Amino acid sequence: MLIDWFTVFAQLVNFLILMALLKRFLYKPIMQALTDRENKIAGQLEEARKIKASAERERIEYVDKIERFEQQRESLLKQVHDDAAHEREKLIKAARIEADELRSAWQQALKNEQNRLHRELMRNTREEVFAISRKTLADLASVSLEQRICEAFLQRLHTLDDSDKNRLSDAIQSSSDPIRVRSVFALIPELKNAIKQAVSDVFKVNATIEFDVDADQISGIELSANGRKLSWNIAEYLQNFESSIDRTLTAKTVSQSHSGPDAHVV
Amino acid sequence: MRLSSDQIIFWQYGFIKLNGTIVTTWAIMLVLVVGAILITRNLTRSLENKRWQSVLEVIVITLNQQIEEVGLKRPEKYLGFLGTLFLFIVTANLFAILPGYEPPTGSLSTTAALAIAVFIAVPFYGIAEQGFGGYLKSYLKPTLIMLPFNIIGELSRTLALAVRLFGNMMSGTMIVAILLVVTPLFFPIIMNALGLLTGIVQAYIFTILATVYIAAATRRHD
Repeated sequence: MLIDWFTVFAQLVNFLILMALLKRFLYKPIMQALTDRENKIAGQLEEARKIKASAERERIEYVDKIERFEQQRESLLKQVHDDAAHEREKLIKAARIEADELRSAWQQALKNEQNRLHRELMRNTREEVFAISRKTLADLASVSLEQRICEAFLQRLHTLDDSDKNRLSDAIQSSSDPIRVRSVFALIPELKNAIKQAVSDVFKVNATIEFDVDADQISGIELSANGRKLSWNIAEYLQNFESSIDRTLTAKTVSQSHSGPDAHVV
Repeated sequence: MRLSSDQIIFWQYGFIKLNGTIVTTWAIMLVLVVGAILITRNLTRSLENKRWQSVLEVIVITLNQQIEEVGLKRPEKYLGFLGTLFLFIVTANLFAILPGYEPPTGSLSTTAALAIAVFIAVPFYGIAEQGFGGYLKSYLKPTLIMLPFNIIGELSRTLALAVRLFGNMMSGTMIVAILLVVTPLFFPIIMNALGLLTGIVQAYIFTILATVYIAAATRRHD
């Protein structure tokens, strides 16, 4: 007999027990684990989606920020350029003003130097002229320059026109002060007497005359009374010489001022 | 010549006896249950999986997919029965690799018990799915005349299930035993390997047929 019915029954029971045990220990935990894992994966996917969405939002936000930053940078850069250009203009202007001031100062200094030189020349010229004249007159006429000046002064005194004579005469007569005669050199007594005599002859007064030596005076002899003056001097000659020197110096200064300070202006 | 392990009697008290088939079945049950307990004891829920847990998951998922492919909508509901059927038969057949082992599926008593289980499960699931009346009506399809043929078909396919599995497994064991006598070297090894393949195929066929019967019983009126 191939079939043993007790064994059939026993195997059926065995199978049912095995089914129950496997259900309890295999299928249920495995299915539960699978479900849990699926849920977990689904949760993680959902979380990943949220993170992705959040990251996308942040990305957009950062892109916006970068754009804003770029615009801000451009604007700041432009402002800096404008400021720099403005500052450059200002500095150039200041440098130009400074250069102008330097040039003015230089020109002023040049002018001062020119004036000083001029005065120096004048004094030297005068001394030279006196020395030359003195020597020339001494050599040629055998009289001292002082005598020739005095003679020239007396000549002038005698040849005064009437109006000048009257004005001077009024001045002498209306003044209680003595008549002052200034000369650049000390007059010898003969010349002083000649002058006194001439004044007395011309103005018909017997006034007191005081003789002074004035080294700075440019003229030879000057007579003054109550604000009126009569003089003979070498001013005309000197004036001509001065004019000539002036022209020369002016021409030199102009050429120097064109090549001098301008070279420093940037 | 011994055709079945039923004939190995360890203990007997009247009608009740403890034969080789029952003892071997208990051993297989022990292996399956202890194995399941050991593996599922520390199941991980995380994405990193343990090796043996993965093996069990693959088996369970494949069974689920197979059941679903046949046409059962909620495979979890049938997994307990059909999965156990497959795991028991396949384990019983694969142990045939061990020397001196006689598979319980080579006993007609075991295969008959399994076929009876299927015979009971089909109306059980059918009634559960479409009600008692609905299930009974399925015997009258397509016409009333078909009622006796449907009943005969129900019985005969149960018998076929039992005999098919028994025949295949018993013959496999028998052939290896005969060949060991005739050609003791090499050839039995090939036959044994073939026996393993046959065992797996038979387990698959038995389970798939049971699934088809249950599917047919649960969706006749779909």
